[in-house]
Amino acid sequence: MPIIEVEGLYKTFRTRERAAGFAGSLSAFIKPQYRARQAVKSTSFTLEAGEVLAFIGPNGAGKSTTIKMLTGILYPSGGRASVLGFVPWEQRRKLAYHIASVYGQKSQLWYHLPPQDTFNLLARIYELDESEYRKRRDFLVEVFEIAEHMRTPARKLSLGERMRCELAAALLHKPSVVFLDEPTIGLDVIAKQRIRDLIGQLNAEEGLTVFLTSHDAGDIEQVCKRAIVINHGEVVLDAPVARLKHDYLRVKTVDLLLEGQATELIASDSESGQQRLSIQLPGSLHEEITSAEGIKILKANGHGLKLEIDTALSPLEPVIAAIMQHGHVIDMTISDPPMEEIIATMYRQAARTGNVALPDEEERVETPLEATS
Amino acid sequence: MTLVRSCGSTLRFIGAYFVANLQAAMEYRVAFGVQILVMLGNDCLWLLFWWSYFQRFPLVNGWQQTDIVVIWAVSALAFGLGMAVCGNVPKMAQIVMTGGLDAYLGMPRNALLHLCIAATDPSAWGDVLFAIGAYLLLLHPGVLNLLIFLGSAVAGALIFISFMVIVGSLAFFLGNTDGLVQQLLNALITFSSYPMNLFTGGVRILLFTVLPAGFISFVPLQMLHHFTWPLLGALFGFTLLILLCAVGIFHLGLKRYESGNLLGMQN
Amino acid sequence: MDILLKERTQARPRGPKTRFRLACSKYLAILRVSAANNLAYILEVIFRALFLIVLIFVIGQLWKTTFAQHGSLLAGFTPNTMVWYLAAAEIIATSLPALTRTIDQEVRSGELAYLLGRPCSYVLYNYSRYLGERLVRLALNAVVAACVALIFVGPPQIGLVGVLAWPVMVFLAITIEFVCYFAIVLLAFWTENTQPFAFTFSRLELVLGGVLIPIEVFPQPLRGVAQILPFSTMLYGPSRILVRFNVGLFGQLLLQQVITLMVAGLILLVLYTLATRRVSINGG
Repeated sequence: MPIIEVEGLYKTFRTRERAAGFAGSLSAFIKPQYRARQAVKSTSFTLEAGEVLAFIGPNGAGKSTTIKMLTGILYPSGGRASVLGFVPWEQRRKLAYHIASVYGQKSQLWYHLPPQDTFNLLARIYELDESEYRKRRDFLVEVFEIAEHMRTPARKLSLGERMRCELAAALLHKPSVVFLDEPTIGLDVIAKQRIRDLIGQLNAEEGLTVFLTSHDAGDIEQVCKRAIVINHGEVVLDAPVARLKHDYLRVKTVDLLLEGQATELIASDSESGQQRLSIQLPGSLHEEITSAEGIKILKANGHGLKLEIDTALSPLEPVIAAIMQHGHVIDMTISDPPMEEIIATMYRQAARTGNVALPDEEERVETPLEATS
Repeated sequence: MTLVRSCGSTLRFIGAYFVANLQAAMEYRVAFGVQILVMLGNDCLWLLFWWSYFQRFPLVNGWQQTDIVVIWAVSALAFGLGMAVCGNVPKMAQIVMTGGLDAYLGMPRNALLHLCIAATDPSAWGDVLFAIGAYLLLLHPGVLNLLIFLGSAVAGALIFISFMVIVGSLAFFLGNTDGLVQQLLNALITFSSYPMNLFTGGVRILLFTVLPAGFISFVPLQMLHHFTWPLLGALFGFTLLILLCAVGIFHLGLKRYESGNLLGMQN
Repeated sequence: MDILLKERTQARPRGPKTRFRLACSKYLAILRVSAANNLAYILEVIFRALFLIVLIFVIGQLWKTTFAQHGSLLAGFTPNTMVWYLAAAEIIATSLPALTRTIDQEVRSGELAYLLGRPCSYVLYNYSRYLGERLVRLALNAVVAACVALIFVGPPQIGLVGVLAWPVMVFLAITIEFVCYFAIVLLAFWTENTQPFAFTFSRLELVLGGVLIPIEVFPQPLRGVAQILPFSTMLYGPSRILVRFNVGLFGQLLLQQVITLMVAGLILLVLYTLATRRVSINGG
């Protein structure tokens, strides 16, 4: 029995156009020009209870518009949706008792007060029974390990500590669905992992349904089982994360700063003139690395070497081990491709297989690139 | 019974926010104290000034010496109470423009009420202290008059808040009206601080309708001179009317907000 | 701030005359930019004008009623000159820019370096910025206030001499205000929040500086106090001279303004020295 059902949901904004300058403002006032913008175009999907869904897409793709419609803040231009049996924009307040939203960039905790006081306030807002609330609060404090932070004003907490308190606050009223928007943004590696583990734990133990929006591939890989990719207001992909990983996340970028010259590791193919990795090592390892498919050289000049490695074809460790055996590595960064690139890849593949039409080149350029954390 | 329960729940909701707001203000005890004292001092300074003025140039037509104190005390208490409980209302235009309303819409409570009580104005407590102190010390009222005074101030507070909600709701339709809101509020406060004897004809009509200064200070003054039930009825009736207007206009604006087609709202 | 940086990085030595000329043109440019910036906020100006209209209307009504009940001449003022006095005082009072807030932020955010290194530059830079904004506001307020006063009591019965002397006193008045508020902002080195002080000062200035009522008309205990305090130089002085010029009074008020400016400047200097000492001891 799905708890979220979306069918043909779409939203068109009508915004007023105005030219720059005073003359522009004047003409806009006298004779307003309207421009319609399709933020969401006929989206359909369902979500079962206990699912952990990744809702991903570049900026301006229509993610926040869709979420606003599902939480009842925005009403759609057409289509239908049902969250926990409620029509969000018609029964917003009733629905609010059963859902929660957490924004990585906005805080629900009062800045000058300790989380304890915000929790008490939330208990009043959600009309929680006193003893139930206390039990729930103690449980969450234990699970999130925030006991020592409860009495410190929120402004004095680190980002990671605050995020855990935020999550705990959001779950006080035992929502069935929680919408997480960039929950790990700005956090260090350890804090990120902690948040991901907590989400996973709550999903496993309480059956909490999670609707996660993130630009961090790590969030998606580790926490979510299913991913919906949205771009230009449309669902581009709706598949298990495993497939997403297999098809699009397997490529890693390895950025190295070497002590020696990068060109020492490169050999040019005499016939095609293409560059490939070639590390002089004794024995069979040399053969493997040299002939390995899936290693693309992005940049090799001076001490810098940038590789793109398809981990499905060539696992990372041997390559890196070989490089490290060859000489001293001063610095190394391994990163996932940014979300925009994943989606671009998706599009290219889909266009190749004829699944999805490629948008205009102009529109593509508009999408801003955002670095992954 | 559910009506009683929901009333109780709403009162507890307002109470909880009131407490949280005070707690947040108390985090900076010294600054809080200073703000209260400064506002208290400011009000006393102005009262002293006007007291001296009306000593030298008393108005005729039934004007009593202490009337200026009453006018100032009632309007200060009304404003102070309003801003102490609903200190977030002046920021309404800004909140609407920056999409801050979403946070309140995501909660299971009435969005307008939630928006109003989400913050307090610490200096408002200075106004409250001043008003009560000035009234008690300079007028030595009896119990009945004290009750009338307090009741009028509560009505005045509701009028102030409703007025600001109406004006703030213009942001739903006209975009950035922050400056306008400020000035209209100043105008209301100004007109509430002067005797009605000064105004005639068209202006008086204005002061009992669009800019309800008359109901904030004049009607209570009359009731304190000589209480009549019709006066009370007029005050009560108008307060209810402006409250309903405020709620109505806000909800019209909210519909617009929820369509996402607000002026200047980018996605 | 970019302009200051450029000044520091220029290595070529210049003669004092050139330096002065360049400095003048620099600050003039800042003034011009600041003025242009303010013209852009036309809507905001219109809203502020609303306040002016309300105030002049209300107090004007008060005066009409008072004059009707107490005679047509009060301490030498007629209804006409009284309302025009009010307009003149309000023009100055409502044209104050958010000086303390801006500088307070800058000081706290660490623009300290400029303040300590080149105090003259920083103060002059802010003065030019302040003047630009203030003059625009004054001009716009003057238009609005004059219109309202005109509708209320008709054309002003003032002499040409008053009109000529007025700008001089206004200029001195707004300079005194700048120095006072700047001194208040320097308190940022000792307190968390300078807003209460600025607010208190502005209220004292309004009440005791005679913004609504000329000081002559004040009843006695207040009148004596207000005449001694320096607030009268900022609002009462210019407005009185405009509306009812009197050579002797002009000389006296002008002298009062100059003395006030010097004293305020001295206080500013002392505070500044104390501030630098505090910073060098505590290390910012």
